Amino acid sequence: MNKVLIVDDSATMRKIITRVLRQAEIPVGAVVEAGNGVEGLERLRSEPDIDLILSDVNMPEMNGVDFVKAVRTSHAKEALPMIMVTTEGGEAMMKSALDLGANGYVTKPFTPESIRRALEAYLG
Amino acid sequence: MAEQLGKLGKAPPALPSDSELVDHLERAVVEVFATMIGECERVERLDGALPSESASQTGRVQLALSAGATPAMTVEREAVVEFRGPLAGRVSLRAAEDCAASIARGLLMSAPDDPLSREDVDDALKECANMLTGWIKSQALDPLGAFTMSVPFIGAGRRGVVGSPSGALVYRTGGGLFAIELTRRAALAESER
Repeated sequence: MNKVLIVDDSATMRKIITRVLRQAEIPVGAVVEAGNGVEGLERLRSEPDIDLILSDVNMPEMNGVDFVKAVRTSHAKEALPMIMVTTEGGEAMMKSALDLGANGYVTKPFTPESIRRALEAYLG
Repeated sequence: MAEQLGKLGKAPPALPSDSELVDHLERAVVEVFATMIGECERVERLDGALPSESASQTGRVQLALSAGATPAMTVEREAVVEFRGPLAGRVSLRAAEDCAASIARGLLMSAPDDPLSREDVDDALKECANMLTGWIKSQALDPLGAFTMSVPFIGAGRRGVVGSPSGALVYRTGGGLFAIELTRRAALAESER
């Protein structure tokens, strides 16, 4: 089963995404969490078997765009997919995240279906 | 003439009026609540001046809504997100305790008897304010230029808020009334954005 890292400064949003992953019948095993990009990088170091990352954009300490940039210095796009989950569906912000190596994005508010669509290409 | 127009360049897009901003806010509420929280019914729209508020002896803030339409609502929780760019302001979600808990339960898909901490409720309100502001930013503000949003935070009423009110929307949900207010700051200098 796939191991997913959820990076979001809102504990509520991390809980919601976890529930939605279960509801959408996405083949996810363990879910690990981090509250910002810095914690996300620590998680990646301590748990190298993570298969996919779902990350917020607007976070304190290290935002999602900088997090993508940092992850891509050590993990290729094909090896570790990153999906941005954001309230800011602005083209410039998303273009920047995709240019830096994010594989896709989902805008909040989301449905289980929109999460499933964004993830289905990456989780077997 | 064509050459002159070319030299002048394209005029920047006009900033939305207060009423247009409140229209966007209303669409944001429909989108966010219908998708992630649950049904809510709009009971009042207040354009321009926000309802007067007064602090009771217990420190609770009372919002007096327009004459006779709805009773005054008590505000015990407030979550705020600020935005900055060619236009600056804040979106504030305000609710009484029970209503805030009801919104949090809806967002977390939790049962009525599931325990909720104060932190859970505050975090859920902040996330709602974040989604509402994000929706307004992407739909109404981003086409006007570069905007940034603050991280959501728990507010303390309108004390210290600088700017003019664009309007407020009042809704009823399972737990009672909640209000969403949009306040616009004066135009920012380029260096302040």
